Amino acid sequence: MISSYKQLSSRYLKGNIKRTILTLVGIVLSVALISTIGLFMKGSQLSQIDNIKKLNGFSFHVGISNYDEAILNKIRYNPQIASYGLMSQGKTIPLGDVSVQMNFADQRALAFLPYSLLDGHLPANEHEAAVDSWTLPYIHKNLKLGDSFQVNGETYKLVGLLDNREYTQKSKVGRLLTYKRDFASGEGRILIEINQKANFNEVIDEIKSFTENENVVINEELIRVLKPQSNRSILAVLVIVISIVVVATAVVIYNAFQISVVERMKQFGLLRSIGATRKQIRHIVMREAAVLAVIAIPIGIVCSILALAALQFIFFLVLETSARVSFFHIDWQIILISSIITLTAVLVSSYYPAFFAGRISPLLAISSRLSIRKESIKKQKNTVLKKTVSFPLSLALKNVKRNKNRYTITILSIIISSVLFITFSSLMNIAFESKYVNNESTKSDLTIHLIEGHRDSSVDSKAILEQLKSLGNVSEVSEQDFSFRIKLKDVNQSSATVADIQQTVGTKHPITIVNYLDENKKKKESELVIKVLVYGFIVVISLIGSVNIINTITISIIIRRKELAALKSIGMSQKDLKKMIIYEALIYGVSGSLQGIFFGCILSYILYVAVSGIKKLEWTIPYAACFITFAAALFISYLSVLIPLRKIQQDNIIDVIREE
Amino acid sequence: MGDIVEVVRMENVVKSYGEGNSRVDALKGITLSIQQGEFVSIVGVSGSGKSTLLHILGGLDRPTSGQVFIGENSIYNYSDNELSIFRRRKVGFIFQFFNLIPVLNVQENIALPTILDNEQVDMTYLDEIIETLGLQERKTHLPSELSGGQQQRVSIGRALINRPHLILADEPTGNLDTKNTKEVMDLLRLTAKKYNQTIVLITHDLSIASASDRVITIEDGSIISDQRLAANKA
Repeated sequence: MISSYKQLSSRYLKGNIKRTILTLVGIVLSVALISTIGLFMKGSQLSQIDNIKKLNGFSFHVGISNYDEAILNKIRYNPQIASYGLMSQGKTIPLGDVSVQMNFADQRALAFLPYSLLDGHLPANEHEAAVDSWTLPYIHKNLKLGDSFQVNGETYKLVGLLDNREYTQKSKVGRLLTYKRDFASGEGRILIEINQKANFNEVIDEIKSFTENENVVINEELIRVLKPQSNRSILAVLVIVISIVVVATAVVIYNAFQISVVERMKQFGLLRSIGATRKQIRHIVMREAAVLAVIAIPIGIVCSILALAALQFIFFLVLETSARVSFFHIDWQIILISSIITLTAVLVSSYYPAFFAGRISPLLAISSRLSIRKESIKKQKNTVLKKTVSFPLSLALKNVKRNKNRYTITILSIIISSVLFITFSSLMNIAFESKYVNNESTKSDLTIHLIEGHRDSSVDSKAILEQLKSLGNVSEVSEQDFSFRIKLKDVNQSSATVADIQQTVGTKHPITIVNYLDENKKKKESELVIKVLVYGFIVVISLIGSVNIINTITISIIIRRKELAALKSIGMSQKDLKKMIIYEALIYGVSGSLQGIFFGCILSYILYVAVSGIKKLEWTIPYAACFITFAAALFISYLSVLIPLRKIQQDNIIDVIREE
Repeated sequence: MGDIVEVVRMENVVKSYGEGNSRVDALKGITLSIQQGEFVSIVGVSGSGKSTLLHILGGLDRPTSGQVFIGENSIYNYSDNELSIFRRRKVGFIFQFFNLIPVLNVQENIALPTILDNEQVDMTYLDEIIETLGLQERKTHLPSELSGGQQQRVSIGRALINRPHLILADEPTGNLDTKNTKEVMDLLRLTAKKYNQTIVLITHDLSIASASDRVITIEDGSIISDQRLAANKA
């Protein structure tokens, strides 16, 4: 026994389990879409931060040189500053052909530096040191981690290897990093990490006011990804993306509820006739929405977490060092926000259907005459069409055109999916290309530069080429402006090859050898991370979009079961019926995807304008994405009629026609 | 016989649909009075306006002009909300197509008007109705599991649950066979007497009409005859 009319909501939901599931799927997809986008963005932000730290080799936000005790105190007692450390450079000590420069850092400064570490750990006391690995042979032959060595009269224990930076190799000045506890006032630089929660711009302005601008170094790249909201362009992109998704969600849910209300007009009329007030009817519908939301939101969130886990798994498969890619990050704030957005969208978008249900006339329950008038069919004059095209096609065209609202709602899901696909794929392309074009260095493993002053015609570059090619481990050599790019066969033997080159070419010509292997490895890794992100994201978006299209088209056919049975009863063949419905789906697919392509291109241009503030790029129509969208929309529309069609074909004509 | 109490009064009720050329007058100034405990049949051909009359009596459809009094109150001065509450408490509807809520079982369907009122359901009274209607065995069945006659009995039960003064029935037997028709009509008469209710019933069936206290014939939106059948006055 029910005790309140409100329980009618759950009865209706249980009573029509098929429609309930379709609506649930719609909401699940929406919440999954929103939270996946949120978690994706958070995840890519985190991996970007990680990348930038790795590429730069350090993680401090601001550095100040030429400081005095007053500045140091201001930094020390500033609550907006999370941590600061001191670091200084010492003498450059010659070691044969090359030299090493002493670097001193205190404990807190060292905390900013582990990203430069290739192997081992950072020095913890005055007797430990880390050096660039390419300098090892110059310091001492066969020097290994854990060995002791002497430089400048001091004995250090080698505890860590630093990554081989291009500039250290070109200048032939390696780095030797060691610990120093006490710094003299004004010695070296202050390295600063600003509190995550602080307003970076304010703090940086404050720091700049302490001293001359040229004394302040700001790690712009890192700050840009740490605090994306302080950047107008990124903010614009975020707002656009989130609004598309929220609008899409609202439309999907509105669609589902409007259909479920229209299907039950007679029921609501009946409730009204036995004395339900408008408010009570509204409550029943809104309650259905709330119940669905409460069930669907957790499922949707689990789905989006699963999608992320799948992505992390792909990273695991693709990357050798996947442990370092902390992409899978469940941010409760984002999950909470997406739940709230979806719940709000569900309630807001079910309000109109609820309002509509409340206004249904009680007479509707009694006289079936009224229900026929519920849709006004547009009359058309295109008689030419009838003669030239087949009967199923002309009927399909009439069906599609006769009700503007239903048509709009059905193709809206296709439009939104297309827009999402096109904008996101072009957005990703922009992000992707801007980062990884013109990256010449990745094309070679080792590069040999002839030292300036010796670049004249007397150098027989052909002979050098031949010499390099004759080396065992070299697979490819190319020459450009007195430098030679070498691709190696076995990258693990790079140091031996470097020694070989020194002995063969180095003895005849003054050269510098730059080992790009470590840098390239990091770049390739970050490139791969971005690629997996981009494609993973596009796959998720397309999947959600497809299910959405299938959902809407299925609903649009199921609610017309009675009408289709009537067509069969007056003698339309099974084959013609099938043709008609497939034509309808294709018409939806074509017009939806064309409009989607149009709006998608416009939006991707708007996004491009927003982004071009950051990076200068060319915008072109994303032809490939447009073509994929068009083909996929047709295919999915076709697929999505097959299941309801099979059911309709099995229907007993008389049962369906007599169904209430 | 007690005093004659007027339950329903219609004064010059006009109902028209559409505007200008396409204007159709469904009711052309109906004036009518019905007393408590009366069993009134309304007859007329399709499109004569009898259903519109019934809807206006029950507060389902607002008249274009004129007044409808139920008891002391002119019901079309009510707001939409008050009108809903009026329907729920004072009127019981019985429709040709039963119009039960498919997701509720028999006793829930019967109790629905009380539930809509956020009132506690009087279980003794509910059981009494169910017993009178002969639905004891079917209490927890869904409408889809019942025959037409049983469904119509459920809708009679629903019309009775709030003890309304007025029961309005729009061809309640139109969808039933002869045996069920007789059973349903006997039930209606029985309960009306038991709870001292007024019944207004639309019918095509002359045998049903002739068994009522009063027969009103409507043609083209006007009352053309209003007969009291003295023989049936008990």
